[in-house]
Amino acid sequence: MKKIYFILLSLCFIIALSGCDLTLEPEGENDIPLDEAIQTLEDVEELLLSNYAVIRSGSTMGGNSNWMGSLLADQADRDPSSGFGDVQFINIDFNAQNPTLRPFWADLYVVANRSSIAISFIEILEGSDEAKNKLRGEALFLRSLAHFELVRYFALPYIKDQDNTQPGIPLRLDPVLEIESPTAPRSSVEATYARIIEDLLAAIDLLPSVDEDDGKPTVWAARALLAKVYFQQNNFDGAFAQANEVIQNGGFQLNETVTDIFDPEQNFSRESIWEIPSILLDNSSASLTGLYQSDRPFDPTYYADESFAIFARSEAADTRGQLWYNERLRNGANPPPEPVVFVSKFDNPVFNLPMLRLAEILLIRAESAAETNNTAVAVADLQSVRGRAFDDSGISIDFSGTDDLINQIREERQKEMAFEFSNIFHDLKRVGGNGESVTIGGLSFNSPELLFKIPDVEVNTNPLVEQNP
Amino acid sequence: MKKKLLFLFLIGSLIFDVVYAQQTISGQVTDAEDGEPLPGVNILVKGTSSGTVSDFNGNYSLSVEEGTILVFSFVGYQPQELSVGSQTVLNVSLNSDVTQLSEIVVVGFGTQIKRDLTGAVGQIKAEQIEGRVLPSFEAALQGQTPGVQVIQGSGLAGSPVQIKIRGNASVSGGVEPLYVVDGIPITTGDFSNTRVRNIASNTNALANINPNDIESIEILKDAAAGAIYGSRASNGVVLITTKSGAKGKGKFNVSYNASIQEETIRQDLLNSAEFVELYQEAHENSGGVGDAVLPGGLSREEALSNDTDWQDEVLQKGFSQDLNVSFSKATEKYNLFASGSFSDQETFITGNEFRRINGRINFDYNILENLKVGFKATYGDVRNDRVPVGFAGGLGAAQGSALPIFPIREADGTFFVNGANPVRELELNLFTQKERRAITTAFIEYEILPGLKVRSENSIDYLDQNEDFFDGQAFDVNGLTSGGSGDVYVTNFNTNNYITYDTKINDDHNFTFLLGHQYQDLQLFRANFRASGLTDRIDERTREEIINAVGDEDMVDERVTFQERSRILSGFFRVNYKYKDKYLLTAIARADASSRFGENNQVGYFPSVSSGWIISEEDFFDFGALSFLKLRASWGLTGNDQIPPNGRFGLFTRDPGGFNDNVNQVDVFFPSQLPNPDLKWETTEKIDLGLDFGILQDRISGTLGYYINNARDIILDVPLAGSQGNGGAQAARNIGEFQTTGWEFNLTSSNLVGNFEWTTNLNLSTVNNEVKDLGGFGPDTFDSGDGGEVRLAVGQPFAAFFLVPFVGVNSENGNALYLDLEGNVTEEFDIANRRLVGSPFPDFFGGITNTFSYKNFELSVFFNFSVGNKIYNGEGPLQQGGINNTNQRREILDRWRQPGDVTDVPKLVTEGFAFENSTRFLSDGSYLRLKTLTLSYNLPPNLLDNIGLSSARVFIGGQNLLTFTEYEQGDPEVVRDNQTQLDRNLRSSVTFFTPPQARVYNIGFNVSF
Repeated sequence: MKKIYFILLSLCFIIALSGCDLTLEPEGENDIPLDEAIQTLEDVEELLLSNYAVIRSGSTMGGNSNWMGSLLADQADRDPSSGFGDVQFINIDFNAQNPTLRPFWADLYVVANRSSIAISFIEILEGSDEAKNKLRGEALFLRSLAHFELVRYFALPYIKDQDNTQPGIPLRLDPVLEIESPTAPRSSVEATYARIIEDLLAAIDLLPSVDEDDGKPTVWAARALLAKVYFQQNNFDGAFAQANEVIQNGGFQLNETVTDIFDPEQNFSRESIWEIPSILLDNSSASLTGLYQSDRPFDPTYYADESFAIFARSEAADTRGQLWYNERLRNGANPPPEPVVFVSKFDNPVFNLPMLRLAEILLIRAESAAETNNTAVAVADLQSVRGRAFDDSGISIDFSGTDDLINQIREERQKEMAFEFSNIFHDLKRVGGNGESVTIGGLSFNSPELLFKIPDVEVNTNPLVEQNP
Repeated sequence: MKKKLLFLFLIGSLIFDVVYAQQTISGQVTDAEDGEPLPGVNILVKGTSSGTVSDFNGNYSLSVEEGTILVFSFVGYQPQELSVGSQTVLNVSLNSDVTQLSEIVVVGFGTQIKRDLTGAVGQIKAEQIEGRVLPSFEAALQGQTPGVQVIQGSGLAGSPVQIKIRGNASVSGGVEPLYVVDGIPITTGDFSNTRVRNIASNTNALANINPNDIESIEILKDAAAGAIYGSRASNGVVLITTKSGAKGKGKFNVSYNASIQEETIRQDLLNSAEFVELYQEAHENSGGVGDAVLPGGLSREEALSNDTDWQDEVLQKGFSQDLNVSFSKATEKYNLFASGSFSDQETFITGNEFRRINGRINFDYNILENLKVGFKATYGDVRNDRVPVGFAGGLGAAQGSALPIFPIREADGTFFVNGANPVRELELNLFTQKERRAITTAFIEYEILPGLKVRSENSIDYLDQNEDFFDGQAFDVNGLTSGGSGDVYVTNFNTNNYITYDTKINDDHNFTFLLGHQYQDLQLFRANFRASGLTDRIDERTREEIINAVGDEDMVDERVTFQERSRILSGFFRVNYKYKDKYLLTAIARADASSRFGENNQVGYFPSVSSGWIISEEDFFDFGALSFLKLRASWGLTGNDQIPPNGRFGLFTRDPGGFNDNVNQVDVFFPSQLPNPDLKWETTEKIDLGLDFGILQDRISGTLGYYINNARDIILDVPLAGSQGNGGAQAARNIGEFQTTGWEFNLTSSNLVGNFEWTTNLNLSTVNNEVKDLGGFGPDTFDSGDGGEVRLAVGQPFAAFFLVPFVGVNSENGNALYLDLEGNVTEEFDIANRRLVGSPFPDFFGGITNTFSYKNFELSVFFNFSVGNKIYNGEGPLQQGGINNTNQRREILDRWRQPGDVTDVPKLVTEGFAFENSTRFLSDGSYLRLKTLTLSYNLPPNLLDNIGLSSARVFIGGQNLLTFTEYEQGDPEVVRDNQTQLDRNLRSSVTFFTPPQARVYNIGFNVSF
């Protein structure tokens, strides 16, 4: 009898022991080991899709990109805040711990890295050349977008006709998928721009010309971005050529009204060169509406700076002044007597986030044309944009000489692109880079004080990187 | 009975030869209390080394000379000396000697007599747990044993308790001890899914366990005790033994406890008139002219008429009750303990309520004399209505962003929405956590030969948690109310299989061998989704059900799932050796192979050696009243394996519905974690020295101990350069080194015996911590972020406070004055001027319990204390300067107002206010607290007989009744909830609107029949 129990017990032991298995694979349907992760071009496509989620997020181009420069350039204003990061923007006194800039820096590099990872995998995966070219073009486009956004905020401006050896940004060209990966020093501003241009030129050769209405960039988006890059360098020939391609051959047209581009009923409108789609469930425009939306119970964080509001709404016939702003008392039972001009451009919930649109490219071509003495094109483009705003396609453009014309185009841009991607801030820096005397927030356009500090984590862990002065 | 069995095995195999034989005397040795025979009793002829041992039936026989004196001794019993006359039969009954030193102590895969321990083990008994109102059982460990620092998280229902055994410190790894219930490492931790809702508080899986089911808790502190749990023992091991049946007729026990809870401290904040006045002043100080525009768009008149005391609005007197019924019975054949309990705790925050229904059956059955089977099963059902605190709102908002000038409701009865409104939040938002948990263990034990036993324990611990959140505040940009639902399922399978062998060689060499293995498989599955367009809480659990309820698939997010699993296979060996009851030696070896460890470090080895010398057994020992003295020393290695199960893998994650194609949600796929093949456990080398003593036959007993813990391979999350493009990714590297040392002292003394009894239990501990190595990374690499309050730096205590010194206020302009590194006074605040200004570790801490009893009354008074630790008041910069959007503490009334004012409160401003962490908000956190006070009355036996009860006790008491401290900003017992593990570790003494503990007044009874 006892023997039986002994045998039973021994069996228990053996069963218990044989059940032991130290699995070496991670569990979870959605977590895939690195070396098995990217198997097909569909995986690469999903990898690149993750980049759009980063780009539209509040930490990068869905939010921060939008207000940071606008605030510095006195286009946007906000109530005094206690947040120690926000105070740095108000006082233009940055440190490396700024909680807004840490994710802004890191997340844009995420976009660059995932693009570089995609590029490295596309080489080795099976697939049609057409599919590969499209993905490769998309990756190059997204990488240059991230690098371009970074270099404009963290590096001194590009100065026309100079060597531009001032530090630019570290370029994330090699994919990083290991802890022990090398870090990169800051390339010069010249080299940074050169690489952005190289990537975009390659993307232009690879991207399709037809938009599938799914938010993927086309060759026109790449050209439009390249036009912006050249323009930022005050390379008017280059900017003109690219903008001209988009306008001539892209098949885009200005929308009927200035609000159409932000209207969820008119997604992928004819003016839109590239936009990030938004649906009710993931609402990619949410960060932007949260920052500006003028018609909610709570007042938004940002509103129009008082003097900018006067400028933007100076002409009664300008529909932008009427439709993009909302002057009203602050919310509450008994608001202060002075009204505030809120920005109502982004009031629609769940609209597609316009990233590149024809009006901007028209104004780039206009100014580039004016700079290169092609006044007729300049006037025509200005007329297109202003005519739409004033609901008068034949609106007359009166100017006294090229300088006045250029000045009018710049003012038009400030009105047309107000509160979109800190356009005014980058443009002021560009104009300074063109040798003109420009100040931003009372500081010279190329004052190091206007530069964001490289975030502390980068400085602490990348000995090659040089902090801004 | 346990004791007897153990010694039967230890000594039973020995047979003595009888040396001389003038006269044969025989008899039986029995237990004086129950008359049961006592086997294994030593019977010595006094003054010689000859004697015998009683057999299984307690019988002995011995040849002696007439007039000889026999000494009957047995561990756990008082020795007796009898002189032999002419009789041939001498029956003896021994009285049990229940001193501390003879108690049985659970040590992991076995038990030991306290006297024979070579390691540092603390013990807590059921009496110290029963009748208290506890957030979960482990809170009862507070102040009971030295070296164990316990802080009850907060007064929130079901909130976690922070336990630091010997100052254990980890940076990003867990610091929780290993909890083992009846031999089974159980699932612990916070499973709340912050993707459903982040409300700045954590939950605690241990709250599901009924404290009244616990018989004893042992805490294994050093390596001698802990190494048997290898890679899981660095943070200490807490062994919980649940109750079993007592021999005799079946016994019912019913206990009931009702209590009222309130907050221990309420913050002293400005009223409306003061706020308006100060706001106006701040406005003028910032260069403003005319009437300041008040927050919330309120006119001055409205503001003044609205004097809302938000703390009053969100706080309440919570009522709690606790009912326990248990039945126990044991016979020769079986042992049964069954219990049921119901607990309902309403805390002092409106809307916060915790209900637990719990049942247990423990059943052992002796199939044969040497074959035993049994199971222990418990089921708990918890429902926790949770409320936001801290940064998330609720009480945190009531003390901060909800200004006294805000009304609760507008004139038309609708809620005020132009500023924080915690009443609205508490009323409209619903967040419920439901948890069902079953822990089932079955064992079989077979005694192959006397002393040789084999035992197999197998268990499943299953936890099923559902959280529902409904945001009724409608702040969705689409104007829709939304909600979310999250599920967590944790399955924890464990098996222990081991052989023990007790033997004695000659008379003097006692051995106990243990050889076994343990295997654990822990799986966690988590899923959550959010939905828009809801009108009420989601009671449905699956996405399909909620789609049906909402009626629109587009309103319900894809379900996001997460799964992790870890397996650990261990082999262990232990030998206990005792020579002549004087010299003790224990050696342990354990090997752990864990799926959590990187492929380059799959197996860890954890040895320990310890020894003890019972000096009082030596012949030369004669120190008057000193009756017992033992010296112990131990060395060993333990590990901390609390690293994420998937931490070592390089992973890509597919996020369902992470983006859209303008029509539908589409999946995105991205690198989420870089591979880490070197990742391994954190190793702690533990050295322990102890001196156990007993005075006056152990009427006074205690321990003095000293330990050194050298923690190596501490995982530091080394940030990766952002330009490498992995976001905020960090690399977990085993590179840090810390050292913790400390003294421990405890004393139990029966000061008075007789009619009026008075016993004192005192324990004192010191803990000193120093960071030895950070792998060469600079001191600012590991801080609490944003120019944070604490950081790690070589040569400094773990998470030392690192702040700019605040030295006062410039009486000319009202600006704050700081010191720079050269010691110059400056108005400029620069985080480059931070310096080491204090430690979160106390100089010493402990507890003292005095118990007085007179006739049927008993009064127990327990104080705990902590001296020399610092607390950083993280909300201070807002509450004492951030008048823009935060109500102010009344200290602000001493602010600078005009040139010439001498004060240490800077002027108020509305513009240019900056959140500056400085020593202005660092305080001494020392306290002495009357933790529990209980007065009980035991009904006299004659009365009991009349009403048919075997015992009855009524009691009244209280917890946190008195607190003596100079820390005025809140409760001095701080646990920072709900951040990452890193934040919890670094900022454990940094508050941020941290809710206080509860003050409890309770009344109850306990009857048996």
